[in-house]
Amino acid sequence: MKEQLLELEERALKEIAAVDDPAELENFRIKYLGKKGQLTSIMKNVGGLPPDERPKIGKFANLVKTNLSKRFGEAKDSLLSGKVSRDGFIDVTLPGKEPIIGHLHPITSVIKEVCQIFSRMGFRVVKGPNVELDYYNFEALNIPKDHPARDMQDTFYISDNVVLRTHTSPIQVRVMETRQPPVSVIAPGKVYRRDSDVSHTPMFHQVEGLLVDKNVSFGDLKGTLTSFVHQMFGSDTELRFRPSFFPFTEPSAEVDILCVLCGGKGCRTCSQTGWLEILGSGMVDPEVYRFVDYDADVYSGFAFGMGIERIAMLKYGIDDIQLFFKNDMRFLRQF
Amino acid sequence: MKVSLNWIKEYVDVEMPPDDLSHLLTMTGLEVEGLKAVGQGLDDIIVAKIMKVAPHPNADRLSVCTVDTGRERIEVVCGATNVAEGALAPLVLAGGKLPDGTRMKESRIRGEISRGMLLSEDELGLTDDHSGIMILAPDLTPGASFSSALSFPDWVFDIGITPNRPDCANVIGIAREIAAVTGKSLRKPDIELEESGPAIEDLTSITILDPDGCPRYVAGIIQDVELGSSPFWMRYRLYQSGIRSISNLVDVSNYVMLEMGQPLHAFDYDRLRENRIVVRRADKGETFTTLDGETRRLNHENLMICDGERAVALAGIMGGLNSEIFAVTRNVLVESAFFDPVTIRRGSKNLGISTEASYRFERGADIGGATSALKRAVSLVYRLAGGKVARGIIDNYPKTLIPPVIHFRKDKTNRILGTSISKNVMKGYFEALEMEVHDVNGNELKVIPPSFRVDIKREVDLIEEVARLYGFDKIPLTYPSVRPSEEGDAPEIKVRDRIRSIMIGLGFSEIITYSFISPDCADMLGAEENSDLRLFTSLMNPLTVDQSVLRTSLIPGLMTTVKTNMLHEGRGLRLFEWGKTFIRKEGDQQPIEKIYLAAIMTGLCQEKSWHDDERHCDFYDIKGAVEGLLKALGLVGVHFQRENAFPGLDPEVSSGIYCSDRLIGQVGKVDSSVIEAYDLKNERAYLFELDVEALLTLLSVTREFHPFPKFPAVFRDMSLLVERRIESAKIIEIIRKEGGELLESVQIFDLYEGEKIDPSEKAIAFRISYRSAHETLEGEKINSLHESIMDKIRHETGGRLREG
Repeated sequence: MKEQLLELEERALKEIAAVDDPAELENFRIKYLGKKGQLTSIMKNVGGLPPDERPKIGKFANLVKTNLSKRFGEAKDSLLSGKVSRDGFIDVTLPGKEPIIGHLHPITSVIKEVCQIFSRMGFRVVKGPNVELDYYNFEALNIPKDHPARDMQDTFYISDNVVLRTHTSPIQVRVMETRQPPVSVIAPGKVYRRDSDVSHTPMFHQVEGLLVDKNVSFGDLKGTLTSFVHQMFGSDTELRFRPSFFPFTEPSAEVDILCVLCGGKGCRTCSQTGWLEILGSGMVDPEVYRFVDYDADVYSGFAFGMGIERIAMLKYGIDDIQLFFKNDMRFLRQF
Repeated sequence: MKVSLNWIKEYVDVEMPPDDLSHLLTMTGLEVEGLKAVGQGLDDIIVAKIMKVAPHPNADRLSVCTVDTGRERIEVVCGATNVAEGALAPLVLAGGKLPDGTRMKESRIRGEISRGMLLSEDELGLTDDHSGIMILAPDLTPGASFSSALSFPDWVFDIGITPNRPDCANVIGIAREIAAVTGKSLRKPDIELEESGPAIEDLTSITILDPDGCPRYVAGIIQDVELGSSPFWMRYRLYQSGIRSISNLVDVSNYVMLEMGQPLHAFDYDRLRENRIVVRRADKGETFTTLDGETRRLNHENLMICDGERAVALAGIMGGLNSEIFAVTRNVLVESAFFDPVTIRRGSKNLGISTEASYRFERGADIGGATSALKRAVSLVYRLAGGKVARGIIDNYPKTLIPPVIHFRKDKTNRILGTSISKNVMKGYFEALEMEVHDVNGNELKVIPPSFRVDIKREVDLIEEVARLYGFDKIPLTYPSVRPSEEGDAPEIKVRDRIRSIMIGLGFSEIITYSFISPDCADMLGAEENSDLRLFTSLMNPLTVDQSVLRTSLIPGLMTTVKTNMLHEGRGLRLFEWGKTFIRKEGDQQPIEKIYLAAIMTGLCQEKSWHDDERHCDFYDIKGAVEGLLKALGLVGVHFQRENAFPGLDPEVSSGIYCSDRLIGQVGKVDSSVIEAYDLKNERAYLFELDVEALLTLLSVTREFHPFPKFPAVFRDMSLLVERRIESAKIIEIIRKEGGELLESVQIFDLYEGEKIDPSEKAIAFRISYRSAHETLEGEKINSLHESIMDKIRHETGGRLREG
């Protein structure tokens, strides 16, 4: 009986492949799958088989039936809907059956890119808490209470002693506190400042970097960050290191790139200066080493930090920082 | 700080164009944030002399002036009241251009022909003074070019001063930096004092009761001054630096502050009771009216300048109304003091007042420069307001500055910078910055910084000066030697990107919402009184109530985002967020920060298209998504269990997500009360939330390969009728248990509830795959196993085989 079924299946499949109009298709159904069809009649005989063969053949017959029904269904769909014509023509310009694919938030993409670049240079990705002790956010970074440098960042307080971190720099201290050099880490994360207007959001993202070892120089800082800028913005990007001030680095340098919009001629984006500030950096201040018990006469190193929203805005030409946190699909879909 | 280039040029020669100077300043650490030309377009403006002023025959408020243009005499009509015969003033002739580009035309004003126009400072774009025409210095020649006579155009630099460089918040400080970098010399202003008044000790005394708060107080007195307005040059410079001109006496103190960095205060000497000064701390609760008219309640943090009886100024912050210079002021006491930065900062913060003076004091004024600033101010008062300068000054200096002596090493400097600069070059830099330098040996120097460089205390501070003056751009690029770390990235980083990619593949888009939310959110989710969702961490100084506590769940962010998108997204939404929640922990300063992954799905799951009908998403879509995610991550032993304790979820349509008996998340339908709370109309939404840290502990680090089976599988179907509330997982569990090691997999391939069967029952069909690792299975063996499974199901659930 199994042979019978196999032969029938083969014959039927051949026939259905040739069917090209609805009437023929209906004939096919009656001939094979109908109540008086050939398959049905074979299946009726299963009951007459010896009990040990019954389930085996029964199952096999079912498989044949399922297969034929499926092919019948497919043939019917394509014939009735008229999308596949009888001569094999299909409209390849019809849209495909596209699965829905989501979108990564642009901030995530930029953080990922930044971290990948530094990972290739041997930096390890680490994290730290968003709710931070004053000690880590300020004190151990050489920003004592009542220091004007605290004005550089408007702080959200949880209590007198606890803040929402205003930068990712406290992670530097946490890392150095728990291990001896060499350290080379990169730390992405959310930061908070009490500031909300057209160009500020009370929460934004930064990536912090730290490298401490023997004989690390300001030249190494320049080399590392130049390499980063070239990988991130293109190898022909012009950049400059400009003296600046951060309480936890000395010397401190801002890194500017030539304005991507005006090419240095001066425009609104770069406030007519021709340059865009993208990174803060510097050699770790010995005062910070004192807090983490590193010997400043043996070790030296550099730290840097960058605002991700700013980089994303430059990279994608986004002119409104608020868009990042509105999560409007019309925005997200573009990334 | 905004400063005019012409002013800078008084102290240092600048030959380069403004753009180059801007670059030079920026690369020295004085970032030029803006550069603006002032006094442009003045080519057609000439110096004219007013020869005659006659009333306009047809207008009371106008006059007809005959002016000498150097070539001819012409008549112009003028509306200003300060026209005076013999005065010099700027003039534009008919046909010439005004600074704003408009061309002056000869016109007839009320019948009188005007062949030009006398101009105000405002019309020339120099200050905002439009009270009358600009009166020029009498030594100018009629017909001369106005802009060359007054050195226009000028440039105003807007320089960002970093908090460590208060010495650069003044024009001489900026000029000093330019001089040091360009090798030019710095010219300090000449101070000539003709002291013709009585000895100052006979006029006043200074008592410092709080030497920590006020380590130095210097005072000078000028008698019989004449209050008036300041000359153009001073008003212009103040204006361009953003300070309003008040009167010659007040302007001098502001001018010297901008010039030398020393905040000064001018008191009306006669309004000081007992004509003396006492410096003390305020008493708690003491009130004081500052010269802006505000009455302020003080505490012990505030340092006060007092006279013999009462407070007359908030030291270093703002003067008082009671001692202010006013119209009848004749005698002036000028204060030039040094106040403790922390004291001023606390006082200014407490009272919420920040002034040009407090800005400088809290960053650190020049304690050594207090006397020269005072003398400069007194000499300017004398020059502008006349009077008699009292003989001598009072210099009360109870806490003398001991400058740091810094041991500096050339080799260390070159090592830190990656340079090979010689010791002599470094020494030259320090000297250019007015430091005292002594050679110690071939490698070391002893350096004493000047009193205005409050930022220089340590060797590293000097290393920075070397780097700045050498030029950051000249330091060669090098690369650190990489020592690969054996530790990998933080654990959550490793799975984060994988999870995000999978979520994107499942059709979800990533959102990032604020970590702070409204405390209402717990109510909106219907959280119980003792729920963790209510353990909020509150901000002391939130921007708004809506952002006043840290989120305890990602769900409010998802709901809000659904809401924002509803307006324009007619289709379905699939969103996810990866982020932290913050649960307050009693007795701990910091909340517990836990990473969650949460996803939401609403609306259509399938849009109407040429090949499919539209379909709304349901519980099994979100459950499928979470199952797919966990499977892709390689998590084994995941199971779902009905649970009705999840805030925000419909208790009937929600389930706990378990892995190895550990609850790792929840999935379900958003409760209709929540939908209503977020005003989402009749939308149905489904979400899941996963505890990422729990997930991390369950993910195996490695995966093990299993060889393909050697023997064929045997399939058997089982179609059952069971009571409809019996969960499929329960039946599958029976099948697995009973099937033992021969059971390979169970799949549910059909489910039916409806008219054809008893309403209390459901029909459910399983396809079971049996396979042995050791042999080809005999039909007999399978049949009996299959039947024993059936028996067990019948026994435990009351289910039976469905016939037909």
